[in-house]
Amino acid sequence: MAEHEDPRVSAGYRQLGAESPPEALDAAILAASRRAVGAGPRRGRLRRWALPVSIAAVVVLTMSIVVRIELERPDLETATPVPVTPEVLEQKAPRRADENEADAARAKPKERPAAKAKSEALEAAPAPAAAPARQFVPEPPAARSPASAEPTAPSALGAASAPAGVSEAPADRAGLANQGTGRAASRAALEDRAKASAEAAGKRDESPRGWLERIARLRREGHVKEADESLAAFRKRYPAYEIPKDLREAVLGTAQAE
Amino acid sequence: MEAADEELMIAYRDGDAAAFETLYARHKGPLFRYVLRSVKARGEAEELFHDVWLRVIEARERYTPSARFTTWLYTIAHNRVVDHWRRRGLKLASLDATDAAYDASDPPLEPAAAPQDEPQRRAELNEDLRRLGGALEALPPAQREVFLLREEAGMSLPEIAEVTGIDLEAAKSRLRYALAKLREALGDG
Repeated sequence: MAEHEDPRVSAGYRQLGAESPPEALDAAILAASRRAVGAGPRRGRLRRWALPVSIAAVVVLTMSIVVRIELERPDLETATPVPVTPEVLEQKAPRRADENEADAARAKPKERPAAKAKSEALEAAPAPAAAPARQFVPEPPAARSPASAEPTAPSALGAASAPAGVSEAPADRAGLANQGTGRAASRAALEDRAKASAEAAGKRDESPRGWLERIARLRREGHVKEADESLAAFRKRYPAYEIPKDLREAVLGTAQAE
Repeated sequence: MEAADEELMIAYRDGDAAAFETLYARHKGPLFRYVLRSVKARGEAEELFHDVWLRVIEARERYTPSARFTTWLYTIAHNRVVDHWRRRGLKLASLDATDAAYDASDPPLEPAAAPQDEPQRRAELNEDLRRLGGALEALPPAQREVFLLREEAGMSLPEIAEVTGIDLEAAKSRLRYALAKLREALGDG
């Protein structure tokens, strides 16, 4: 076997050089090997995943947007309350008349005074524009000027049973109902809330003396029934309050004062 | 633990391109030198080398690990080198020249590629190596091939016989004569 091996020849041969193929040839052969098995270059593995990952990302993004829109869609309970201003009511009135002339004609004789009373009363009502989206919270009392809490027109006082409250407006309600059950219910709810909040704000903000002065005004203007009802409400709220002497006659009326 | 050549080739056959890269990295140097020193010029050697690997790629579906991968690879290479020789007009009889028929005074049937044919590098080689390189070039192609398969591919004589398509005794004879000539060139003759 030794005649078939010679370490010195082998060692000498190794020193002749260790040539290698050029890199370009390596690249060409490796590229051919990849093509043969349908694989791209190394980045082909990433590229293979690029399409499915992109599709998945688009689907997830779309779903998240849809879910977010659904969650943030305002509904009746969570809608941001729109302040009911006279301008808004004025804008709505013609549209309702167009939509349902019969209702508008029937409501017209009452609507104007009621709407006027409402607008005047609403001027004194708190503006909920800055309320958070999910809860209807009236503007804090401090934000209102004392003067705004006062009724500005005798007619408003006559129409409103509660101090600074929003008067009932059947015509408005009827008109709103014609605009679809959902919208009507929504607006009715908003009005009720506005009314309730206005009443609560009025009762909360008005001093006992101011309330009594208003009762005195009602009685002086001949609204005896309203004055009596308001007085009853006053006594219910302030049972121990002693009516000042200077207001007693005006509030209670001549007969009661005596 | 490194995967065997046969496992890598099967993996490549089944679509694993990375397995081929490993396989190529292992064998490219020895195979390139085998081809380079078997033919005349570097350009031809590169062409043959490229062709051998393309044939490996094309034949992957038919590969079965019944023999060593190295044997399979160098069989392909041998066939390509023989084709090259044939195209160059060499006769098979010359390729199969044995020691009895070989006359050292005859010029080589085909000058092998000279890896150190750059004059400057050649001058740097010491005298022994220069003579060894010249003797390798001067070997008959068949003897040179057996020697190269032994040195570069690390093949046993039976494997050399299988690759070159000759019987074992002929392989032994060729290698023996090749070594004798090279030893002589180194001054051990």
